[in-house]
Amino acid sequence: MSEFFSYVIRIWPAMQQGALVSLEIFAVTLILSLPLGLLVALVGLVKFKPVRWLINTYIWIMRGTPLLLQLFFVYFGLPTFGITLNSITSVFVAFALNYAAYFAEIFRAGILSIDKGQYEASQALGMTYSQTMRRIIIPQTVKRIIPPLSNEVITLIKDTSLATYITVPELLHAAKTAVNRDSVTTAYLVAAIIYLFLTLILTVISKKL
Amino acid sequence: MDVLNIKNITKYFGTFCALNDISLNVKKGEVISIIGPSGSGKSTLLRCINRIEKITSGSITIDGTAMVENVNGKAKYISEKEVRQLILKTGMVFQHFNLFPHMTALQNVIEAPIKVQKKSREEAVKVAEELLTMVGLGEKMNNYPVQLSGGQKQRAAIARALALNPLLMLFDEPTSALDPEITGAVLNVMRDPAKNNMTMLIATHEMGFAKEVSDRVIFMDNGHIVEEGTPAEIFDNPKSDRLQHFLESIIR
Repeated sequence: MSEFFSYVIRIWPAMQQGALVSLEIFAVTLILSLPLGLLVALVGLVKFKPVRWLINTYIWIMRGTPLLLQLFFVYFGLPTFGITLNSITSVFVAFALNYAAYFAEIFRAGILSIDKGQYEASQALGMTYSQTMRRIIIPQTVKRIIPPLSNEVITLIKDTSLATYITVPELLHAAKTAVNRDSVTTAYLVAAIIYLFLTLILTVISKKL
Repeated sequence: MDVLNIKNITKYFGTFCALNDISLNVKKGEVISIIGPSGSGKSTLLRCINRIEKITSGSITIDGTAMVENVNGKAKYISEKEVRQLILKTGMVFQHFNLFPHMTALQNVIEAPIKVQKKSREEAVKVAEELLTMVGLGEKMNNYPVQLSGGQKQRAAIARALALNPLLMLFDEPTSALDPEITGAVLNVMRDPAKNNMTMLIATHEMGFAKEVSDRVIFMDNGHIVEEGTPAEIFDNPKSDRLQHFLESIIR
């Protein structure tokens, strides 16, 4: 048992380093994809058909193909078109685009769930479309979308592990390195506990909202 | 001068004709009730006046300014910005209140004066407190809509519409979603502005109230104005078969 703990203590700095990279992917993805998702949702509400078609196609592609494939496309595929990104930037780009699509769908459903009487009252009070959205519709939407949004955010914590495939030194990558080097699987267990801890924190936060 | 002129307006929803060649002039201080069966076009008429719905053809002039005019048989509106300015002269009260649920009664009332009319917060709050007290919600100003009864919600909504100091109040079946025993309180609140020379258009099924407060009553059916006149003419001496039939069917 003490052997187990001394091993965990030995690999801990590397695991911690990996967890920080995972959290960085998590945070950057959220910071980019939440506003982008809102923008996509709002643009998707316009009446002009070609714009809607474009937005729907984007969402269809992002939700209809695996995130890992999208990551490979950005990292290995884009250089063919003259765009070369390093591995962590590729993760940011692929994750932000993918999660923005999911968030856009959540935002859109939330916005559409607001009674049309709210728009009519805003209009009757002389409010502009942007005032109506900012002051009336979106604040009401926020409350309703917290449960589906929390689900996606928890999924994102686990999805950060996909970055390991393009050698980003995140948590799972750190665990795999330790396992390969030391030929014991303890590091996987440690990684699992860290993921569980992170998702637990997020679950608790989402319940408080 | 007339507060409102409506000339030959029609409104189609697809192929369904909701308003068919409606003309109406409303003088300052006039209280007009619009009665008629469900689907007769009462609500649609009010919703066209403050451009929640756009008309198909015809013209609407509010306080001397044309909001929409007939150009080659089609309705042509002034710019979006001008329309927004103009409809501030109208206040709308909805059947289902449409209060903003994430705001208290007070916040509901001050929202448009501050954000649209750019009044100072102090001034808006002062007016809102007076109005909410007037409609009997002095004690409930900081309640959220969910903490108010249906009648209280509608009175808050009336205060919200009055806060913009409109020339013309539009009431779209304001008591139809309420229990009979609380409609009285809402109608009481509507009586004051009616007596204080507020111009009002009221779509309603409350015949007693229409008879009491109206200068003029309009009977609509199938998108037409079938008959109009004083309350006495409409209720005591209906000329058309359709109005007679309608009155018989509701006054049992």
